Amino acid sequence: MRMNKRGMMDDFFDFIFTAIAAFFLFSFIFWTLDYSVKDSNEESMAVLKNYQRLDSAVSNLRSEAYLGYNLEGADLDAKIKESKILGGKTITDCPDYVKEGDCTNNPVGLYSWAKSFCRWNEERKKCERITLA
Amino acid sequence: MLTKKGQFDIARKTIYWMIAGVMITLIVLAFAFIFGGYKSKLTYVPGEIRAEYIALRFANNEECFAWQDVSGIVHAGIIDISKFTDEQMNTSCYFTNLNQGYEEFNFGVTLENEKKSIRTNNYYHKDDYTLFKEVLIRDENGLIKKDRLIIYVQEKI
Repeated sequence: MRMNKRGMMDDFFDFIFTAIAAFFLFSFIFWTLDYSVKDSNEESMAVLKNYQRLDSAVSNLRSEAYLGYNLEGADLDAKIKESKILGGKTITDCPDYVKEGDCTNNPVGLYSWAKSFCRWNEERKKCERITLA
Repeated sequence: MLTKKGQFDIARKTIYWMIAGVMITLIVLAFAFIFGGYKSKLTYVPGEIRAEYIALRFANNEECFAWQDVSGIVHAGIIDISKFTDEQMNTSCYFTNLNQGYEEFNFGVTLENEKKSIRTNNYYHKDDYTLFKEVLIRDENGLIKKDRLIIYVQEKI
């Protein structure tokens, strides 16, 4: 009878061991799969945000062309790549700043590499790009 | 003739396998649930991406608000202000089922500078997120101005 009790205890511990192993196995599988999906979703959203920024930048340049700003000789690729989002608005060039303070301070750092800067035109109430000769 | 110990061993194994059987069934079910859930997660497209694709029509399709000149050329990204009406939205641009449409994507669309807003037929201002699009608008006099399209997205109620 003592043998049988020991046998039952063996079975009981086997059972507990199986249950704990299964729990950790499930946790691991679940975590791995869930993490990979979350990771790919985050990547998709990052790609979407980048697409939205590029789309807005292209629209900004098209607007400039329609509105008569001179884009001749401008490096459009660089402008598109360097466009940044400020307060939900994509800034590609000086005319995209709508406030005088933003225009003067140039918080996204447009033309940090070129001989150009943004200046507020009080008469036209618009931000303009000034290029030094 | 089985001894008492032999009889007990058989009974013990039966009890063990009864409990283990339940456990094994639970494990198999859990696996099935995990992989079923994984499959649906893997094929899920975030709502913002779907909304972005749907919203492309607003500024790029002549059946929505894109300007179409007299020669028939559609100017993507330029909104014809005369088309920017609820009627245009609900007749040829985007329309959801009258009864069940609230379960689909609905949009409130605003032109920021013009301060003009329209909405789809089942939009009830329950905004899940907002999309922005830089656009040009063409007014009644043919003048082109810069504006921003703000698209409020209601995924479903």
